[in-house]
Amino acid sequence: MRVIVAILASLIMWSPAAAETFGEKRAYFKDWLAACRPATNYCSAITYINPNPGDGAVADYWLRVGRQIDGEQWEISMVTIVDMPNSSSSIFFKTDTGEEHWFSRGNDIVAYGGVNEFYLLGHSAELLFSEMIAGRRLDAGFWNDADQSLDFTFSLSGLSASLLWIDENQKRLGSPRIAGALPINQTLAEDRITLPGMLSDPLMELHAKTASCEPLYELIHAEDWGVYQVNNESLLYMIPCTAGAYNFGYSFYTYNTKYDQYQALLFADYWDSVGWTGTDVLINAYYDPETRTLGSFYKGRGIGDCGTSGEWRWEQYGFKLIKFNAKSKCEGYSDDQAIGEFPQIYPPVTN
Amino acid sequence: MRSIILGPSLSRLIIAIVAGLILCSPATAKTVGVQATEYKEWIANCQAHTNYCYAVTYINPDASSGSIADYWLSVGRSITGKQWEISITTIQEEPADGTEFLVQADDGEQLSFTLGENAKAIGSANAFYLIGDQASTLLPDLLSGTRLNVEFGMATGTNETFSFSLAGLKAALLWIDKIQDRKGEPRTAGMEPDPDQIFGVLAPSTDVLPGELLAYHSLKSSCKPINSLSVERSWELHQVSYDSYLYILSCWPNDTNPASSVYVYNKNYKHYSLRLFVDYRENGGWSGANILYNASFDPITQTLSSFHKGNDSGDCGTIGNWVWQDYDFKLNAFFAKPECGERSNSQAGKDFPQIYPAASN
Repeated sequence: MRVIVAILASLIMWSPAAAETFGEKRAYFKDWLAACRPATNYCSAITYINPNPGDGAVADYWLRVGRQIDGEQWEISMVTIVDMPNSSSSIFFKTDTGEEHWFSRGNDIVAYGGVNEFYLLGHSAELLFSEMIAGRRLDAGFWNDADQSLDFTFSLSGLSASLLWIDENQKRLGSPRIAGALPINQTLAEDRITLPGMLSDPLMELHAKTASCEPLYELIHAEDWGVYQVNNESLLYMIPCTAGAYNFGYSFYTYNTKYDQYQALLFADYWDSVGWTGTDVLINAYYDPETRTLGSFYKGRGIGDCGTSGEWRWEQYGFKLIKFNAKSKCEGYSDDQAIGEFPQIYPPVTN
Repeated sequence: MRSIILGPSLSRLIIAIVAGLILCSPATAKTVGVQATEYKEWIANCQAHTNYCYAVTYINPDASSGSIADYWLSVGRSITGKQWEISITTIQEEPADGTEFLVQADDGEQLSFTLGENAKAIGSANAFYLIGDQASTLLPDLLSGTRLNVEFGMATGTNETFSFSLAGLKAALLWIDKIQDRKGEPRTAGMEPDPDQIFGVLAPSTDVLPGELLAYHSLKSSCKPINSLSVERSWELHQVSYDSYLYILSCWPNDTNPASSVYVYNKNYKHYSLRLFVDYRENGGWSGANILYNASFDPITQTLSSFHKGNDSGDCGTIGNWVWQDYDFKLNAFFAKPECGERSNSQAGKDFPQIYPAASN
């Protein structure tokens, strides 16, 4: 339980008292403290469970809702000090009036910045945020390394007023109350899995099953494979699949280190001629480990004035389609069209 | 376009058809890549690749079972056919072996068609073509009548009766005359239809799966070996265009969500390809899918359907239908209902919100 002692030292600077030393502007609203950093204009509201417990810690747990000055979304994070959720723990939250939301550590509740600072991501975070604003208290719980269940309750009394105060200080009154995006300017702090240096036989057998792929040894970019950590127990493999003059295809697989299991990934694709369809290959694909975002850009012809592009982000159950753009007609670039800038198909654009 | 359904059991077939015809409503039929128009209670269609035209009317369209209708009555003619062909398709109930279809237009003569004799299943096991002198007599009665009453004996020993509206039939046949450039030709019926005229010419073997496809299925899918499946009907074959054939192979059996892999064979290129589709989750958006659940194909509308049930009763889940167009399946409509209700079978596949095409598109 006291494994966190080492963390405490680094957290001292985050305590309310310490915050004052940075010249923060702050205000209390019932059980919440709202503060803005003058240097960055990052503002957050924080509430504590068992503040100043007497062992030098700031509190047993914190709940923070913050926003960068130019951030599109609010960032919800929970700091666990008295104990830590185990690396694959589910973590639940439920307000007094809302639904029960389960987050999976490493997937949609992820440590960024510090090993015990967990950010709530994705659709569930968005739903929970709206329920937090309307609620009075928030029950939370997780399982620690000893598989013990720990439950605790945050007060939500004062949260709404704190957010309004932040709106005012950031001059963003009336801005939307949305959350769930990755935190800005934070480094992933989850445990790292050792990445393999070669492709295993079971993976190559699975790759051979991928319908669209040509034999790897025939591809000019055969060596251009990649492997990345996507959560605390899964790796993402990106393996060359097809090659053309300007379109290079990759197929994707996840490997679950806990169950020693590979899985081929399929994605949605779109063509004006057939509507939504499926694909087992992404063209000119790229993956950003920091944002856990996967992208593709299929060129209808070499200059890239037509084609499709997609963006997926890793969430609780795998990659979620975030955005898809497509342009079937190859008719050159319009004056204001950038490379790969095609009409948005998904999410549907509402008029 | 020929529809070959393997497995001799009519009841199994009907269940499969009912499960698969979800959302292939008359309105949907209009959107297929064929010429089509409506006349009162009838829809007139012409198939693009065979030029076979037919008029069809439905009883209880969009039935609560999820099927296109309980019964269909169709009057069709091939582009070169000398006569019209009359058929009744039974979905709701299964006719008993050797039963008689008793049909009567308004107060006209009651005509009798014996199953297997002058009421023959052609193309699929539940589409009964009425032939012979009785059919010859029936067609003028249909054209002058307002309703056609039908009665047949069921396997249960009881009789099933229902009644088709004839309002719009005459206009539908005139439309077909015009499309086929055969205005003024006689209204005669009774000849046994040539399945190739109706469904097109089928090239691949209908008895056994080609070894090449079996090998491809084994290599490219994660399905159970097809010969290890203890299901009565493990595959289907349909012709979808002049040179393309659709294979639906059972992937793994399951009471709620039997899974299938779908392949298209192009006879010109002698090439099989695994077709990939999409599924939709509220939290995950669109995703790719290499299998379809509760898959079926309606040869008339050339519609491939899937129903991924969220629970046993199917009152939640996703429903998709794809229409064959030129060289591939085009997503026609997709529906998704993430919230499951009270597990009522009567709500299976009903009132699912439409995801695609999006309302705003």
